[in-house]
Amino acid sequence: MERHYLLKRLVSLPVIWASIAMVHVSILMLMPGDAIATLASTADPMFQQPFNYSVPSLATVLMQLLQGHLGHSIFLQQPVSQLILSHLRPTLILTLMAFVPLYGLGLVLGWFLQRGHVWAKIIHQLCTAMAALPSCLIYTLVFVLQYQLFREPLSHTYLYGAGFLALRRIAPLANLVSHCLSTTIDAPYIHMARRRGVAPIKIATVYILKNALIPVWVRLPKHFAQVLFAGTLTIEVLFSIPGLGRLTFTALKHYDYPLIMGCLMASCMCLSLCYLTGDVIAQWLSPKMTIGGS
Amino acid sequence: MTLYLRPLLILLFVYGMLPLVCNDLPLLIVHNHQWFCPLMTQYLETDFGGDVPLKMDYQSPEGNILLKEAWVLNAPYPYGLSPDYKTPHHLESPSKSHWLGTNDIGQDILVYALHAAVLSSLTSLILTYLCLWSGSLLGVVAGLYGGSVDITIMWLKELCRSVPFAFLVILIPKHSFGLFMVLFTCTQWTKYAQLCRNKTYELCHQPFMLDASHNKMPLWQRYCQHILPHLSPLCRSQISYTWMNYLAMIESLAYFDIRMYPDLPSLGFLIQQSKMHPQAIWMMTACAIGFGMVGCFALYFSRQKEKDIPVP
Repeated sequence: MERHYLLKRLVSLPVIWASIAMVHVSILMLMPGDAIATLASTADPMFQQPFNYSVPSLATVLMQLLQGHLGHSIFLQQPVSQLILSHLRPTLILTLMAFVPLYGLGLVLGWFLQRGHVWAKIIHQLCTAMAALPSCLIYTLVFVLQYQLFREPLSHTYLYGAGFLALRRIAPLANLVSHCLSTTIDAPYIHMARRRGVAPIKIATVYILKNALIPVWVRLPKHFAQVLFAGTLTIEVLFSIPGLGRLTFTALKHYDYPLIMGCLMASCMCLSLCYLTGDVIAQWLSPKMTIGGS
Repeated sequence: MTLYLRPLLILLFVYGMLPLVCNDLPLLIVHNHQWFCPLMTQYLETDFGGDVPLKMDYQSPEGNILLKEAWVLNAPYPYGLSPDYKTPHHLESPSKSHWLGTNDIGQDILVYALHAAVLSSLTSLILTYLCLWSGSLLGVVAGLYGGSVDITIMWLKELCRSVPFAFLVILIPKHSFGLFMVLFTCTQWTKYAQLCRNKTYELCHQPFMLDASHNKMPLWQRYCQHILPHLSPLCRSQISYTWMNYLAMIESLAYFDIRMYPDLPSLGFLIQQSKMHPQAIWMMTACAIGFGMVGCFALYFSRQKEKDIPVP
C-alpha cells in the first residue's frame, strides 16, 4: 500500500472524529428553545435527580476527546468511557457468536447458490424473507412460542441473539459470495488451469476461493463494526443483554446526552478504524490494487 | 408513473373502504322515511325519536330500542376500532363473533390488525416515495453537473448518513407526523442519491448523451429524454425492498414506543401487546397476518414491476 495514502488516512481520522463531534454538538445547540430544559422536561419522570449539565462548547468536546475523556453520564452518574468499556464485552461476545455462523453458513450457501442448487435457493429466499421482517416481530414470535410450549421465559439469550443477528445477514452475504464466485469461475486463468490439468480441489481452493473472496474479506471489518454498533442495539434491548446497544438505548430513553454522544463517538471511531482496516486488507490480499488514485 | 402510483392508490382505496367492511356504526339507517348515514354525520338520540339530546350510541340497549322500528344496514364485520362493550371479558380468544379475538381493552384484533397493516404500509410507501424523489433529484444533479456540485452533494450525503435516525427522533421532544417524515427523508435519501448519481455518470459517457451535449440540448431535455427512462426501471426495482425496510424500521420504533401516529393503530404496538400477553397467541397470529398481507402486496408489486417495465 502506498505509504502516503495510509498516512493521509491516519491523519484524516482525527479530523473526521472532530467533525462528527461538531455535528452532534450542533444538533444539541440547534434544538428549538432551551436544549437542556427540553431534555430535562422530556426525561423520564422517575428521574428526579438534580440536572447539573450544560451544553458543552465544541472546544471543550474536542479537548475531552484528545484526553480520551468522553464526559460524565447524567443518568448513570459514571464516566462515559468507563461505562462503554464495561458494556463492550457482552456486545463483543454477541457479535463474535453471530459472526461464526454468519460467515460459515454465508460462504457455504453462496457456494451452493452459485452452483444452482434448489435447496440453496430455497434457504436463500427464506433468509431474505427473514431479513425483511422486523426483529421485534421474530423475537415476539419466539417469545410467545416458548411461553406456549414450555411455559417459561426465554433462556440462552446470547444464542438466540447471535442467531437473529446472523440470520438477518446471511442472504446478502450469500449473494455477494455467489456473485464473486460466478465472476471468478469464468476467468481465463481458471480455464487455463483446467487445461493444464491442475487438480479440481486445488483449482477450487487456491485458484477460485482465494481470488473470489477478496471482496468478502475486505467487507468483513466494516460488516463487523456495523453489527457491533448498529445490529446489536435492537437485539440487546429485546433479549436484555447488558451490552453497548442496550446502554445506547438507555441513554436515548433517558436523554442522557453525554452518554449518547459518547456511544456515538465510540461507534464512529470504531467504524472509521474498521474502514481503514478493510482498505489495508484489500491491499494485502490483492497487491495489484491501487488505492488513493496513485 | 402509473406503476409508481398504483400501490399508493390501491392502499388509499383500501383505507377508504375499510370503514364500509368493518365498522361498529351502521352504514345506513332508514327511520320514519328518513335516511341517516352515521358514518358521515354524528346524530343525536332526538333524531331517532329520543327525549334527551345525547350523542346516539348505536350499540347501547337504549339505541337498540330507538332503532327497533328502523331499517338498519350494518357493516359485514360489525366491529370497529372502539372497544366492544358486549364482550363479557377482555382478551377473548377467537370466536365466531371476533375472528381473531380481542385485546386487553376489548378491541377486535382483526379490525386493529387490518387498520394497522394498511396504515403502516401507506406511511412507509409515502416515505419511500419521498426518499426516492428527493434522493434521485439530488443524485441526478450531482451526476450531471459533477465537480464541486457533486462533491458538495456527496459530502451532504455522508453527513446525513452519519446521523442515526433514531437518535434524531428521540431527541426531538414532540413526535409530530410531519416532523417525523422530514427527519426520516433527511436521513434516508442517501441510498437513491448514490444509485442515481452512479447511473447518471454512467449514462453521461454513452454516445447518445455525448451527442446531446454536442448538439447543446438543454439540460432539462437531456434529463427527460435520456436520463429519466434509464433511471426509472432502476429506482422501481428498489422500491419494494426499500418499502419493506422502512416498514420494518417504523414498526421497530413503534415497538419501542416511538410512534409516528400515537392515536392510530400500528403493527409495532400490536407486537408489543402480544409480548405483554404471551398467553394470547391470537395477537401474535394477527401480527403475522398483518405483516404477511403487507409482504404479499409488496411482492405482488415487485412482480408487476418486472412485467411492466419497458426496456429503454
